[in-house]
Amino acid sequence: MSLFFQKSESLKEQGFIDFFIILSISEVIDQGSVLDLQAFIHPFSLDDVLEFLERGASISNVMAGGTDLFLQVKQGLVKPKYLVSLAGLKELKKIDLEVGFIKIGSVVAFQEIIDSEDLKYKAYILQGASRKMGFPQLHHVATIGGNLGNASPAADSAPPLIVLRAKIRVVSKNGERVIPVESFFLGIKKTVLKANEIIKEVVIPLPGENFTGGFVKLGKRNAHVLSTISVAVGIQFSDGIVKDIRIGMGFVAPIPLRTLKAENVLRGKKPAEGLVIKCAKVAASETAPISDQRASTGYRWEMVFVLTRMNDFKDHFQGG
Amino acid sequence: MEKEIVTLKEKLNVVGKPKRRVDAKEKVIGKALYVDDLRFPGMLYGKVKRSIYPRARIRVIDTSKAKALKGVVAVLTAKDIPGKNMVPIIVEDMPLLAEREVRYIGEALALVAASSKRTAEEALKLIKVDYEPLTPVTSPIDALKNTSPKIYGENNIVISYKLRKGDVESGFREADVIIEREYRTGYQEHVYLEPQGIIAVPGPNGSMVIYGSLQCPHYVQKAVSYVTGIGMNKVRVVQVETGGGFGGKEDVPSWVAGYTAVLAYRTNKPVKLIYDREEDILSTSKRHPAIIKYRTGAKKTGELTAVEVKYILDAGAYATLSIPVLWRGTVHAVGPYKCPNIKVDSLAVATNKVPCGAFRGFGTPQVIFAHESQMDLLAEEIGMDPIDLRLKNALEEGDQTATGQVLRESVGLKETIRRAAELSNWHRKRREYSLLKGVKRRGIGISTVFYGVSLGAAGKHLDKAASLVHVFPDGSVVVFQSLTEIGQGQRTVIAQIASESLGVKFEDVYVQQADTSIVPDSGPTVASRGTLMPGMAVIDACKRIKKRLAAVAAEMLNTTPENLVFENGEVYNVYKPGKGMLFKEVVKEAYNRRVNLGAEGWFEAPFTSFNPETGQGEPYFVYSYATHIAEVEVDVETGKVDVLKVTAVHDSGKIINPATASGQVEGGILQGLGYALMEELQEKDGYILNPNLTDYLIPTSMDAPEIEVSFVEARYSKGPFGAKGIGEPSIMPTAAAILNAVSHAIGVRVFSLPATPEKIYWTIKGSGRYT
Repeated sequence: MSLFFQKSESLKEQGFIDFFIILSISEVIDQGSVLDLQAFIHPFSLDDVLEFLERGASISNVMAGGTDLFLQVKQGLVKPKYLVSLAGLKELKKIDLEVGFIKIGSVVAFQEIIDSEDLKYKAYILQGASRKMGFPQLHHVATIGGNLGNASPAADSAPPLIVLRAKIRVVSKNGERVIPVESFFLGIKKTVLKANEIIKEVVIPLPGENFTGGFVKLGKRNAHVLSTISVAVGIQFSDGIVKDIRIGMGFVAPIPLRTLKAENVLRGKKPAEGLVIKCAKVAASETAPISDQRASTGYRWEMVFVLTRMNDFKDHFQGG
Repeated sequence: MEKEIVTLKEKLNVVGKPKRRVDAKEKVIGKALYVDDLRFPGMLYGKVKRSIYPRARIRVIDTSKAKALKGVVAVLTAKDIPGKNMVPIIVEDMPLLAEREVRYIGEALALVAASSKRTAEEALKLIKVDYEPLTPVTSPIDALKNTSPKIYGENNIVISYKLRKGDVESGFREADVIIEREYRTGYQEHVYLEPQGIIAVPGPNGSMVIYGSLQCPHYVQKAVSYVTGIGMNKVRVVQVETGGGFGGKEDVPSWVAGYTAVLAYRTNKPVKLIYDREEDILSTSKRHPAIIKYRTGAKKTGELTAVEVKYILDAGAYATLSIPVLWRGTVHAVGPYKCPNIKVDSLAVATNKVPCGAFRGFGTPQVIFAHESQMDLLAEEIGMDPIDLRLKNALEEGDQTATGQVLRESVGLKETIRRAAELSNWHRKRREYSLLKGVKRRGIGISTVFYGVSLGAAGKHLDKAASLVHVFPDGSVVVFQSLTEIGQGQRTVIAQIASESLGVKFEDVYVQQADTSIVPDSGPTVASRGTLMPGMAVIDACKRIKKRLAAVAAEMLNTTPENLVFENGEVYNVYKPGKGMLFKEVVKEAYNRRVNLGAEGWFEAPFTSFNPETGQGEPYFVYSYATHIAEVEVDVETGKVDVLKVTAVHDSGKIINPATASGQVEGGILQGLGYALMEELQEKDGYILNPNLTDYLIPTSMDAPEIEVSFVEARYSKGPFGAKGIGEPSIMPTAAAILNAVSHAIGVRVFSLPATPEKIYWTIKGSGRYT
């Protein structure tokens, strides 16, 4: 799509004079693809974004990488008057290793996650899931904030973030709040985000020694495919005992799911084979997968069982 | 004398070399212009109003509100068509716009032209159609029942064929082993990169020019003439760069051009009509779903004694290309094997679904899946290696095909099998993979095929090709021919043939895109005929010019024409190499002597025949052969298959360009992999559930296996430099080879395509083998 820069008179009147306004050229509108879009807002400071959303949230859509959003705009499922891009916010485009945790800015692209040395040791499950998401070109555009904000039940970053105990820091002009990943989603395309809020960053507490885990994604082909289902498991061992465990799943429910009962089967125990099978069975009972063009409910249930168990085979662990 | 000039020189300088595609650079850098890149002054945007019912009577189409919308220039229905309301394909059964009844979801009802695409889209919503829904027939099995509504002719059968050879009953009595199974295959969507698109531009004196993404310009010319009533002499069809076809742009552009031309005719403005992907998937042709009942009888030692096949295609609502598709499938139903007793009955059955049509392989991948699965079941039953079983039955020179045709030359089949086995380490892997345990199992499988090149007896009247070659005073050459470059490298191969024939440098030959006003009707760009047919016509034209030039050059070099060699832009006396002249010096002299430096070329396909009562005859003048061996890894806990390697050995005669030929094979393998494992167009009650590329999955580069390609070049005496055809054989064996490999890996067989992870999972689970 060809775009050009222009200051929008109407927005200037409303006081947003410091924004760069990018209007889509008339031909794009003529071709019918971006019907109601009036302006593409590309701010360079977080304050500007929040200020804009405070006043124009109801007619705007926030865009990070745009890989999901643009399809929805093109299909007419979303009809924003203004698209507010976060791509100009440098402060949200970095990965910071701090004491006890890692912060990933919301507009960090998956390729940066894949390449990050810090994440390689502290959050390899997220790296593994990122590699399996989409396809190589997409990794350079799609962002972690966008993947979470889009709230697809098949979001590939969600299950690993659930097992890593990640929290999402959201921000609006009125302040910040922090939400555990598993509580962030409300339903398909629905999150706890308010219209004036954006995802600022994802905060991952550093796992301790003896933490291990894995991510498995099942799809009909090897790239550029929505997960039929996905499973992530993270275990904190202590003297061979499962001190703590988390299991996160994609596309087995309307939201990315944490299966608490299945976790309890193994928590505090030695992961013997019988117990792992029981854990997988309980995990299947906690899910409510749908039947759709990608797979039947029955197959998905079987796969929850298989993938949960598979995660515990040692050759499936490490390296994601 | 001409012949001698050609044969003097055995060494080939351009043919057989991996020349870079002449269109590669412009396509890679984005400079090549496709139909949607073109614009004309005052151009309008077209859109098509389509049926939302699989079967319904049309009471009223109210276009008044749409016509009133600002920016709308025309809203047309069947009564506004200036010519015949008919798309001429094989039989005339399909209207351009439905008038009284719609027969599938997506059938065209009305047309809009507006000043913008957006306005045209809005106008579509304002067209109100009052339907009376009727009970649709959506499965061929239902359509064949007596109680079924009659949606096509008296019995819903679009066409049927039979093939009879020997006596199958006695053949089965002689058999030690009989294998009887039923196979099913699904739709396959072409997913060409570029959707359908046409621009129609009205010209002076009531003429019309059509620019489009298409395979068969002469089909489009005829269709536009039909629907507009404009004489064919005033309809000019120019093919622009085309982003893939695979058969999907064989007949369909005739419909698309029909809509566009009618709009252009009525508005007297250029009109552009480009399909979006969903519209394209919903409303254009696909590979036919099929049901194949197959019975094979053989001796314990492996010789086939009888084959009986019932082949049913789901044709969709209109005949379109089902007639030749089913014919080709019938002729190829037994595969490349000797068998004395054969009975094939085939039917194409109408349903209230989108008409199926041409797709690379043209009715053969379905029966190949069946006959190659049968061969493996037979091998297993008699305890024979699948390679040995195939070698035992494979056709060779002097053998008779299922139609009683004696193969007189160019039969490289057995060598493709032997070489594929050797290159893939078949015997070692077959043994080793059988021993694997655990979650990931490996398997190796084979499939072998033959393919009748070009249109054969059923399309005899179209099987000809023309060319026009001009040599210019600077020694450069332009070639016009009427088959199309659709991404397969056709223009490059034709340039190589012209360059070799004239003895000029490859870089000095320019091959124009097809234009119906320049070259006579050369038939369609289908049936793997894009090298052989126009190649021969180009050689014919080049010979004529070369003969004239040779007369001039002989005088200049003080020798006789027989002694001349035209090679690489030079002309010399074969006995005095190194003392020749440049080709362009000869051309310049000939030009000054007023020698005609342009020539037409012509080629008619060799003899073919077919007896409709018995199916016996010589349906095709020559066959290509291929063997694919696939290696897979199956996760028995999830059913997911990874194809590790495909070894592909092809006999397509002389390979004109090994790089583009390998490209064809690689692409065919990927498309075949998709057909085998993932491409699944889901349909319920006539509705397509996944008309998008999110849920209709084709393989990505990350799914591509290692591919090893090798050519057996069994030359064909009537092909250009011995070439046959490769476009379709490249996909034909793949799916069956992959499914045979999957069976080897998991020890159970899947009898329908595609073999999705879920289907394989339930097959494994149902077998009780891995509990």
